[in-house]
Amino acid sequence: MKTIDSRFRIGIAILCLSLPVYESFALLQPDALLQWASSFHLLSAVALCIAAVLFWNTAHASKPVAAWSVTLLMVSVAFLDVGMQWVQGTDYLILNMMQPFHVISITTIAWIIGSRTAHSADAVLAHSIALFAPLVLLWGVIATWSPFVAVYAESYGGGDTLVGHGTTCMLAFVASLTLTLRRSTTQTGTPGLATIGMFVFGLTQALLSQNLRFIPLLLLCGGIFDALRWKWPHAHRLRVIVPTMICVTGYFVTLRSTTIVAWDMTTWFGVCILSACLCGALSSVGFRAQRGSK
Amino acid sequence: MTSLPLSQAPFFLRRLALAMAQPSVRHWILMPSFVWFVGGLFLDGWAHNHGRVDNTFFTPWHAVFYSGYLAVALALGLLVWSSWMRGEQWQSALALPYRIAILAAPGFGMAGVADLWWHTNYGFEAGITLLLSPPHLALAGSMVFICLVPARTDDDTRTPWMRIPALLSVLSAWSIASFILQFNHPFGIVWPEQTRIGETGVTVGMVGIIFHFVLTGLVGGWLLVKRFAPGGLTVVVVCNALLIALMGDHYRFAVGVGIAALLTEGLDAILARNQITRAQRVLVRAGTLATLCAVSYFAVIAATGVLIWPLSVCSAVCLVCGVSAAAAQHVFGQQDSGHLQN
Repeated sequence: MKTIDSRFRIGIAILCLSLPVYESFALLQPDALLQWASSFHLLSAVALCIAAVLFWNTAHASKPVAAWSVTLLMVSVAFLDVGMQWVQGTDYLILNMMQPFHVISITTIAWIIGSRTAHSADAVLAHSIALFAPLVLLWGVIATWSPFVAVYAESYGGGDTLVGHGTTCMLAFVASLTLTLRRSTTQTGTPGLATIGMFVFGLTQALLSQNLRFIPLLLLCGGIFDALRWKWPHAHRLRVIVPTMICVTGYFVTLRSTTIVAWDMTTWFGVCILSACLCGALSSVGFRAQRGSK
Repeated sequence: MTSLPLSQAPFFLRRLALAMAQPSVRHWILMPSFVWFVGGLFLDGWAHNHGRVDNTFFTPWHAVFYSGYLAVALALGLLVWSSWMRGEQWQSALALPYRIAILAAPGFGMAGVADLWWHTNYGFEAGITLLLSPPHLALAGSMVFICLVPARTDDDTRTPWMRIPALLSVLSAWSIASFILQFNHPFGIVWPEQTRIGETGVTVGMVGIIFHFVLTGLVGGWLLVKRFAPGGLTVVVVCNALLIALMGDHYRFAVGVGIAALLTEGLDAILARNQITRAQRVLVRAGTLATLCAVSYFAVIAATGVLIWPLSVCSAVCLVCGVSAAAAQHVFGQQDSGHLQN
């Protein structure tokens, strides 16, 4: 198996991670910037091809069939994606991102970063990328659903439909954050892991929303996770639930202190309780089937 | 408190107290009251969604619901009584889920009183505010803790028949969660036949479909982890769909998800015959179930109504459902549940 410099690996990971987020950013802007989206689109496809080669390099010795299949899949998806872009043009953001080729390519990128980098990580940065990349990527590409970009709680109008939608988006974010922290809780020996990861997440969300107000909150959540891990290393469930709940309640507190919360207090209190229930359930339920069990 | 010597008790009570030492007997005694309780909740929800309520707390639907609660309280009281009859302390004789349920029952009662107070002082909300009011969430939370007892104390070495209460317990807990989250449930508001591309409803509908079908995939995966018998998944998925359909009268989707669940179970049987490990099958089941539920959802709309969303959007939603459910299941499966104990 060829050895690839870990710095190169990290660089590729960051590239793969950032391009779809930039693309989201470009698509969120007025029509004049749509051309940028096309440029980033092309770059994303190139990054996908590089990631494919990287994956092939690291995996072909141990799993040759899987390496070839995944590599071919990624390269063909990248070409089909760009081809479709030329034929159809750029759609409305969320439809563009939800195009099947995008879903496959983004999932593959998240998987490669999340799995391959995790195995080779020897630095705090690489470790953080591996653990938090799926979260950053997910909420980068579906930015219009992110509670930190599309802040439904501060917009009046739309009635129950938009309140329900905003609540579901918040619950989806809580689920993804719980999953990420639950995954991080088994990792040991990397100080500051969650702080860096949440900071990167906050930065990408700030880039997309062009508003820095949630960065301190997200940094605080990551910091609390790391502090709890340092202070009580065996309190796994506690360090998943506490930062997540601080994130949700802090979200509404931040909104109240920076703007007006359009939702009534019953609703946002209800969202906090629902988030606590979801986080508690997801951090407690065992989903593991015994290895080798038929 | 000194316990009554078992030998001095009447024959029937003695037999009952001894039988209730068996967890499976306890489950069967609790189960009818749970069905009544959860049935009452959905009956009340149906009445609210069909304009059969006026601005009063004292409705026939609430009567059914709260009498279901009394039945549950009675059944849980029976557990405490049987422990006492056997000369045991319920705090030590009963497993943690029972003890939580016994504490949750008065909690539900207090939440009910708080609900009465809330409605008296703040009136009767509508829509999402009604679902998310603190007393209602407290009621739902304590209901989940009560109804989950058979599932949390289940033993996968029991026969499939003896595990029916555990299966119904999963159905109850999942249905209560679906009830609270009905404000964006795809079986409640059918966005793909109401909204066109460019309208807000499309993105709202997409999120609702993905969120609920990923949850369905995870429930399906969990049932396989816990080794429930074939057919269990289909029963749970169809019953949940029917209960939610009560809110918006969209019963047609129960057929679609029923077929999706049957196909998923069929695929699982094929994989099991081909020596695929359970861990891999759980992953496949979560992804397949979520995808097929989404496919069946759009297929049912296309067959019975007008599917306005374009094929590219529908196919992407199906794909995202499958990928997200499998990814979530994969991340969950990486840790042992025992690893996460405080």
